[in-house]
Formats: sequence, structure tokens, C-alpha cells
Amino acid sequence: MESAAHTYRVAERWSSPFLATRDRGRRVREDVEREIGQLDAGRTLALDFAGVEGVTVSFGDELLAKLVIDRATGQSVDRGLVVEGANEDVRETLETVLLRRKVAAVSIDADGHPEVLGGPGWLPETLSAAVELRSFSAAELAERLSLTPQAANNRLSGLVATGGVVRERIVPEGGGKEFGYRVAIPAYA
Amino acid sequence: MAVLKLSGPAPLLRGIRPISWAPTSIDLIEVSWLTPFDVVGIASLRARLAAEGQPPTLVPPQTPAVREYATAVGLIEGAGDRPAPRGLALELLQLPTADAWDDLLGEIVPDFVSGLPDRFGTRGLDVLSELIDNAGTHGSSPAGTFVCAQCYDGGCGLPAGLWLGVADAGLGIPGHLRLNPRYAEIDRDEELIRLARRPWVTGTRDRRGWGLVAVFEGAAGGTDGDILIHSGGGEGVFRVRPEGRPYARYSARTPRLPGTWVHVRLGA
Repeated sequence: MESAAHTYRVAERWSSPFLATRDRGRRVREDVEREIGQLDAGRTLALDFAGVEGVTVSFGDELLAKLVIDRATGQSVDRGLVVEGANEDVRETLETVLLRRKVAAVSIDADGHPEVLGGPGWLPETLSAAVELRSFSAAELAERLSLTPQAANNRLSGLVATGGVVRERIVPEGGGKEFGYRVAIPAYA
Repeated sequence: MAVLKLSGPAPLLRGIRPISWAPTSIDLIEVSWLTPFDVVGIASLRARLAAEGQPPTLVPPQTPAVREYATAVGLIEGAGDRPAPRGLALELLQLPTADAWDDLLGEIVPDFVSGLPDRFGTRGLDVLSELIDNAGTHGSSPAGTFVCAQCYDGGCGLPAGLWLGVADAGLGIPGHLRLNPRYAEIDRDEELIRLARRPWVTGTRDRRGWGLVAVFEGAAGGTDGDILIHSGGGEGVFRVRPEGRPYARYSARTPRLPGTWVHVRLGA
């Protein structure tokens, strides 16, 4: 069976433990976007920073912040994206660039737990609820978090934008158009 | 014949005001100490003039220790092996593009990081990389970008820390920012250097402009630090600290420097 996650190993691909320039960030992002584009809907790309000692703010902005923005507004929103293997320095830089762009991403920490980098304060709670539900509707999330349907939908938009949850079109029994949501973090998918 | 006569310790870092930045000769005879800023400034100046078809002669320092240092870092040619001076973190490099720095990092990082006290971590690389990125992407320097780094322990009478020098002979910060219509009407270069420290300020259409912000954050991470930015006809001198706003002084400089020279000291 094909694994739900495709791992992109940054240090190996670019033969360096430190990634510096904005132009290099753009080239890595374009490479990652190409690979995400080749994944089937529902699969996840794990951006693995193991072996990377540091990245600059400019590199992180050009790679991750723009990747998150492009993914959320582009064709690959039905494929997941998570960060993994980031050491404390890399994690801190990535969080900084995401906060500055007012976007967020999901990172898998050393213990294998998902955490939110960047984004508004309600996002971690929403991700935790999603991880518990795994596959769910907006109404189910609203019930779990005691939110109005509108508030749940707003939070889901933010959560899908991180790449940690994917939105899928489903056909309800009575017909019509509906969306379901599924956690795209490999260990929880 | 215009001679740029440099003398004493750290002559360029101390703020020499030459008649012209287009000398036919650079005289280092009386130089008694070279910092990374001096090394990259001299190298950048020489490379720019050479690219323009008028390479200046370089008269080496008279003091043997200074001459040996200039040879060891690669500023002047010398016979035989070049023993690395104590504390030299990065010898003089000429980078044709910012991408060349990325390509070199795989080789440089292990020695650079392990050769420095742990407290610096990768901060030196962060700062150097942002400055090189700025020089390479905004500077459009025909002679490339020059970098050099040296660690001082304070025993030489200079403040201890990791001293970084980055120089290019390109457009300069003021010239780059004036490409953006928002800043095109600002005629004082030192005012544009002040603006360049703000987030999102850039001369490109792309929404960016965090490089210099990251340099200041890197210099202030952990302890105090110093930054000097000389670009075009302006200069900014900064004392940064982990908490609070940096001390900053901006001034006009003549003659205009073609390009940007930056000194950063990460405090020990």
C-alpha cells in the first residue's frame, strides 16, 4: 500500500546543513511545489528538515511562508503539507516567518506530536479537535468545540490553509454538494 | 595620481574620508590593524576598479604581522602556504552571486560553526547570509560580493566578538530603495538607510524586506553588538542590545561610496 506521506528531505536534496538565500528558498519551493503537484489527492508532503542546522529568515520566508500561501490559494489544497525534523533554531525561524505573513503550518515535534507554527491563538485548539476526530464535517467540529457553524467554517478555512487538514468533496445521500475534512498528518491520517 | 593612503588600526572602519573612491593606488604601508570590514572594503574597491579597467596598485603593509595577516586572509598575494591567523573564521571570499554562497555553505558550515565559541551558534551565518543575499539580489555588483569573518577575544584591544565584513560595489541601499516609487523622491541617502531597517521596506515589487531586520536581530541575539552600514552617500552606525531599541546615528558621507560596506560585531 502506498504511504500517505511523501517525504522531501531538504538537507539531502540541497546538500547543505544551512540554507541561506531567498533565491535558494525560491528554488526549493518550486521543487517542493512540483512534487506536491505530482501527489494524488489526499496524500501529504512531509517537508523534512532533519540534518538542517539553520535557515535564514529570507530562506524560510521564500520557502515555507510562500509555500503555505501558494498551496492555500492554488491547485494542491487537496494535498497535505507538514513540517518535520526541524531543530529548535529552524523551528523558531520558520515560526517567525509564518507569523510575519500571518499564516501557519503544522510541524511534527521530536515526540511525533503535531504543533502549530504561527497563526492565530485558536488554531492549536482547533487542530487538537481535528486530530481527535480524524475525519469529520464542519458540523461535527462545531459540536466538538461548541462553536456556531459559521465560526467552525472560519476556523476550518484557517486549518486547511496550514496543510495539516485537507478538504474533500463528498456526495451526501440526498445529493448536492458538501465538504468533508480529514487530518493529513501522517501518524494521524 | 590619486592615492588612497590608509594608516593606523582599522582605517576604513574608523571612517576615513578620501578625496575619491577611484584611487590609482591603495597604500597600506602604515596600516597597523585590519578588520574584516577593512579587508572586504579594500578588496571590493580594488575589484570594482579592476572591472572598470583601472586596477589600482596595492602597496602592502610595512608591519610584518599586518602583512602576514593580509596575506593569510587573501587580501594580498604571498608565496607559499598561508597559515590561518588565530580566530580567523572565514578568509576573504569573492562571491560572484548570492547563489555561490549557498553552494559553498555545505563545505563552510562544519568548520565555521565548530571553530567558533558555542555562544555564537549559527548567528554569524544568519547575519552573513542575509547581508550576502541583500548584496547579491539588490546590489547588482559587477565585481561580486566580498566577505570575511574574524573572532577577537578582546586581547588585542578591540571589543571581543565575532567581526563580520561584507562589501559589494553595486547599486547601494539608497539606489535600490529608489527603484520603489514610494522612496524615489527621498534624496538623502542616510534617510534611506534609516528606512531600510524597517520590515517590508524594499525596492522590489515583491513583498519582502526582512533581511536587514534579521541582521539586527542576529547582532542583538544574546548580548550587545555593533553594526555599521556605509552605502552610497549615507552611513548608519548602530549599537544593538538584546532588549530595547538600538542606539542609531545616521550621517551623510562624501564622496559617495559605490556600493555597500557593512561591519557587524556579534558581542562575545
